[in-house]
Amino acid sequence: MASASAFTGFYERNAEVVLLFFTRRTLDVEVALDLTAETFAQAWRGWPRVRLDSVEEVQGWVFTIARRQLGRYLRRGQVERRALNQLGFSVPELADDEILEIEHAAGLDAVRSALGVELQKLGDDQRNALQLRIVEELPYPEVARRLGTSEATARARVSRGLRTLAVALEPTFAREGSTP
Amino acid sequence: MNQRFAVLQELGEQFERAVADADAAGSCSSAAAAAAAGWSRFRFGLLTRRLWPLAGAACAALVAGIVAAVVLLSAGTPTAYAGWAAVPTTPTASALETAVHKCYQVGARDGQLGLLAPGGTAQPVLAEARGRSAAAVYAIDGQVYMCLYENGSTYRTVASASMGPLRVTPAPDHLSIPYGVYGGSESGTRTHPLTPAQRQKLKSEAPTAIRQLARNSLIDGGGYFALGQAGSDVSAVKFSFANGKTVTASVQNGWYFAWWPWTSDPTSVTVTTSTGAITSPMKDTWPGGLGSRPYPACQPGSSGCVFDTKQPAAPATNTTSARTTTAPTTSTPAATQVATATQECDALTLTYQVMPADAFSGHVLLTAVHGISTALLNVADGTVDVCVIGGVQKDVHKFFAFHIETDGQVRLAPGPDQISVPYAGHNGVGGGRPFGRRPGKNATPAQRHAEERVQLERIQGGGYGPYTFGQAGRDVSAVTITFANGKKLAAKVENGWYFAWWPLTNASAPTTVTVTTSSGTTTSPINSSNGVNVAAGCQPGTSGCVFVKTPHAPTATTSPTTQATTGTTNTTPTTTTSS
Repeated sequence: MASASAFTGFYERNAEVVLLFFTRRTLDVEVALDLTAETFAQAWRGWPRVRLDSVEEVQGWVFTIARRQLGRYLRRGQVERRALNQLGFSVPELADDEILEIEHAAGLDAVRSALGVELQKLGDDQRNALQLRIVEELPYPEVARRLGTSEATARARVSRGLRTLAVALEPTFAREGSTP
Repeated sequence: MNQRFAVLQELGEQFERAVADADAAGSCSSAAAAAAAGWSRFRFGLLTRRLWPLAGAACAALVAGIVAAVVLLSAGTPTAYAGWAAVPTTPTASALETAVHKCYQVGARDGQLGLLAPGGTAQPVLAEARGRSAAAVYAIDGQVYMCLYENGSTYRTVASASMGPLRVTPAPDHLSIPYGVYGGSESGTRTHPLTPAQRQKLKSEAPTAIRQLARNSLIDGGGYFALGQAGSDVSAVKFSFANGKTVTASVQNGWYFAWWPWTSDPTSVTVTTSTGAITSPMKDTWPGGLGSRPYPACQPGSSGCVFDTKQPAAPATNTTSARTTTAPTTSTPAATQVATATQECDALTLTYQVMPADAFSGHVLLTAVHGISTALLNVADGTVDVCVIGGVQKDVHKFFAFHIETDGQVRLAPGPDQISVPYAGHNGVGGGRPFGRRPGKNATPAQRHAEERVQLERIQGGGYGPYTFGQAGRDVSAVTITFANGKKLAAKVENGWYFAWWPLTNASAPTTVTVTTSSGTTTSPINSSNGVNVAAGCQPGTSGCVFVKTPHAPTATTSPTTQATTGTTNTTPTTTTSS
């Protein structure tokens, strides 16, 4: 069992890389911070049962939580705050200059550039679906109506589009050394 | 705390405070772990959830001290546990009415309890009295509610809890594991102040951090309970505790219920049926212990929701290696083995939080046995979740478990005579942990060697051996992987999926995969782009997601002429044999 005090060092070592991990994948620093906070809140809840056999293993564990949070966010369009709420934690407010600083650290310019290229490679169906759902933040029924498809199809197009982009951008992330 | 970004610094300070709280509370008790983890062990009495960090300091020895204090201080004061009895009785109508009325009041105040107002038509499925206390269990509209009014001599507590959805009825000779312990509302009133002697005793013997807990014990407020369903042939249920006490549960209308005014979990449960009494250890069959946390792992319909009342098989006397070699057999595991695996997987889900809590608790698409391991594969929330419970060598490492959550969504089904290339697991690997004993100082060289091998696998394989899994067309009846050293591994094929895993050090690299359909077998090469743990280029719906099968030739041919294309996962089979 990991000691409570060890969590501080664990957070100190991993908070920034997790924040940048989320920032590169959501392109939104505020969302990334929310996801980071929830990820570590969940990690804290599970901490008593963590075995500290290796730093890599523990880091892999927190990134597993992070990926799950990211997956949920992408599917639901909102950040889960269950653990944060249970712990009574609040997510700090971001200053504008700090947003720019984090975006710079995450190399978002390069990611956005790569994203633009990859978006153009998507089929019209998926690109339009992503535009309506992600950019315009329309609910799925409305996305489906505008696309002239069923809601299930709209969801599938958004999901596959995001997945395609994620895979396509993975080398970009890897080059930046962010992916554990 | 030293963070480059101020927001992370600020966030980190909140964790620092939480860490400080946990440290102050100590870490030697499960309560501390529960507190640190944010779990709410439902304890009724003065000890509210806000106080759990304080209660965390109550280590086992201190708890024992508290119990002793109760005994020491009980002379001349209201008897400890006066409002409780180990054997339940039938409550009087007025006692039950009082209890339900108070539960309704408390639950309604929080607005989270669905209990109907007293006086209606709802009847409890179970009602009991223990001393002056009364309890009732309701199953209303598919939801389960627990009401307990503890009428202690110095303290009165109302515990009014929504226990979650109704589960399926266990088999006649089975007992469901207890329902979770979330959703409770509680309220208490002290009926007597502490005596000066009690105060002095508390002050001198109980550290500040545990004073509140000690106070509760002194005034016989608080305790734990167990509530669940009992099979139709279950006539009696009895819980045994490390402190030597036993508590008889009420068993009525397919339900059991018991509570006890101390804060420890039972160590075993004895279930009596028409064929006799079976005692099952609690800790082995119930990860996490009784009531120590909510049990989302046990969802309605889960086979893991029952205690196995069958006697466990005698341990094998053969201490030679039971390792999973390169040619394991796959079969459908026995129900009990699946149940155990489900519980273990769900426990790990709670621990590592890498999957939905109900990833394996409901319907499982594929189960496979490789040696002493059991694999579960399921599709939940659009992703594929895999859990393997098992080990390499049972006399050294009893269990090793891991979760794999694929980062991809479920793909399109391959053609009837195709299998998909394996899903990636490296992007969604959860934590793993060894179970069971490790070789001690007196371990034999062979045991040490085996342990080293296990550790090597953990290091090289990220905590587990290689695995492969994917979708199989409806006409695929068998999938066999062949390794460079000539050994073969039969994958389990079930419900449109295939799965296999093998210890890392036990096999060389896989070289081919053979798919058997009604029209024959097809062998395709596995290379670095379509072998295990690789999914690059394999997107839902793309043709690259399947091993391409050439038209069947009437005779075997060899044509190692086409190599897999880079960036895709298509391969051309090199050997096709018509049946």
